[in-house]
Amino acid sequence: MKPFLKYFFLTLVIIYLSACADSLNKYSEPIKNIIPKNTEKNKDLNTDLTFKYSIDDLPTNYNPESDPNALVDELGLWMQVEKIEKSTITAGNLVKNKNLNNYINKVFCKVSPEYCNEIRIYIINVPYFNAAMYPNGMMHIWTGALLRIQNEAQLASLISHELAHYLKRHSYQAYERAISISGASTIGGILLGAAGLGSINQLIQLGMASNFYSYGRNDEREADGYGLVLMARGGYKPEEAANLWKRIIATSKKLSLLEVSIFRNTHPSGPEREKNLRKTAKIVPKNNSEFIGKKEYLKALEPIVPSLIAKEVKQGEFESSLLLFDKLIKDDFYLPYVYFSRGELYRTKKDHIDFDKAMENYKISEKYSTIEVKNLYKSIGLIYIKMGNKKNAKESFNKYISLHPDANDTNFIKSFMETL
Amino acid sequence: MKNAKTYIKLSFFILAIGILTACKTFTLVEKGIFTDPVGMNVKPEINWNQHKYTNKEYAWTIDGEILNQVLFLSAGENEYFLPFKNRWGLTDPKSPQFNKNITLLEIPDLFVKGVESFGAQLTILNIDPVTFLDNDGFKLNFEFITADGLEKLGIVYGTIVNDRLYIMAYGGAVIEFYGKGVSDFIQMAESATL
Repeated sequence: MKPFLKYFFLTLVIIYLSACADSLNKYSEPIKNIIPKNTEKNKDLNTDLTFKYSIDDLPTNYNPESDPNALVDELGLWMQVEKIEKSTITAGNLVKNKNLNNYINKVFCKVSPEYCNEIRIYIINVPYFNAAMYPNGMMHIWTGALLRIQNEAQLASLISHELAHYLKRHSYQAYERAISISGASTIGGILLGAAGLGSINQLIQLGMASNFYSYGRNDEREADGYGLVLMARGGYKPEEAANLWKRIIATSKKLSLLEVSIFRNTHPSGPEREKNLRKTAKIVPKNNSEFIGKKEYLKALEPIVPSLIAKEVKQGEFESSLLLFDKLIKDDFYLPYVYFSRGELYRTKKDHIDFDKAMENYKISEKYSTIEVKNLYKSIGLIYIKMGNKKNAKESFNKYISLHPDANDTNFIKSFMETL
Repeated sequence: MKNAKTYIKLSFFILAIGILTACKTFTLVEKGIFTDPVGMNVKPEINWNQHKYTNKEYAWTIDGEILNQVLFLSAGENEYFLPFKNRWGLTDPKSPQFNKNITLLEIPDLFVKGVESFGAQLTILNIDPVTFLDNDGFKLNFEFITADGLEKLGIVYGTIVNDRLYIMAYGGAVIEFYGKGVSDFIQMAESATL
């Protein structure tokens, strides 16, 4: 029995080691050998930059799929990512608002006219701060990021940062590192596991995939540097990149498990990045880079704000959502919705229920507008029920019905009032 | 050596048992016979396939749960209804949870929140008052697109009886599969008793 077991385990170890060796051999070609040679510069883009990160270092016609130097495995990665893209296109939580999508694409084209028609940006309705660039030219921006961004320049900085990862091939390099550790099938499985997008389970998987995919500190510094160059060239005020980080830190004190993409451990810490970006923004070559675009950004976002804030209440983390709402109030950002939603947090979030605070916020929302927030009086009525004040509850429900006679639940509410 | 062989055989046997028990099993629910998933008495007029998740969660289907599915759910004080699991199979604490302070008026929103947590984008068509399980209840009609882009329609009946929540929900793919079970679901919901 004992010698047999010994041989059995020895065989297992040999199989394991040979598998590792195979994996290492397979993927051990240095990255520098597979960087596309076809990186002809567009002379128009050349500037007299003395900055460490030059626009000239970025390829102007990078196209991974037609890269003749790509390894079979790299092409395999693109195929996997293309499957994710197919799922993204049909995902239930894809934001299809035409104006918003056009606006974000317009900002992208200002930042990078060279890749205006190459990069596909998808807005995914998930209430966490995240954005991701895939090696096939697909970019995801989660709505939690849109709600935290304050202006067009900050959006441009997020887009520029992600684009820099793509152009410097960081995704592929991270993939290669992950492969050497975990094996191709694992990473493939994780990537495909993320393909459904949207459910909490799948998002955790996506987070896990991001962790596998994690960029190193140097990659992040490089993406920050080139990101600044790209946004400044597009005419955006580079200091807004640092302000975005300040905003992220202020609205995400308690990091969620899902807020992984740019909060990963391998990244420089948030405050460090804010400091570095602020310092670097002063020396980045400018091109009339003063545009901030707060009005433009808020106008583009306005049509979907109610649904974004509602999603934040439904699925966001209490502390993080509260911090965000406090900041939005400070910014005078859609005040009736934000006060109402802060009330909803106190009315509905398990372990944080506080009816007095909820009512306080509803009443402020009411001062701004009695009609703009559709469910305001329904929620006020529910609070009165919890407080045992049936008379006021009925009054509130009646207000809801009179303000929204065509609402899809008026009959249900009328019937419910009869039971009070 | 002989012992080793026995040991290996035993290992494979345990492995096979493990794999088999991990498979989801369905039993036939025959038409015309009363049955009482989660305590709700119903009599289907067509055959269904039943999977029991827990004592408080039963699922029925005709063509597979993705295509059409009836859910029978029940929750008492501080119990989850429509629980969604994390990757380790544990109930996510964000799942909708029932307690006796929750009014019937709040249940549709909690249900919607639960469905949306699966990544679906849901639109409520209407919520109407109905009698369900001989009590005041609601009927919620909705349409939704799953995380994978499948367009579905759904109906939910719900009520609270003796501080316990009861829900019967039906959802199916718009193309073909919703229609296959909806009329039987409605007749079951409208005639269900405790």
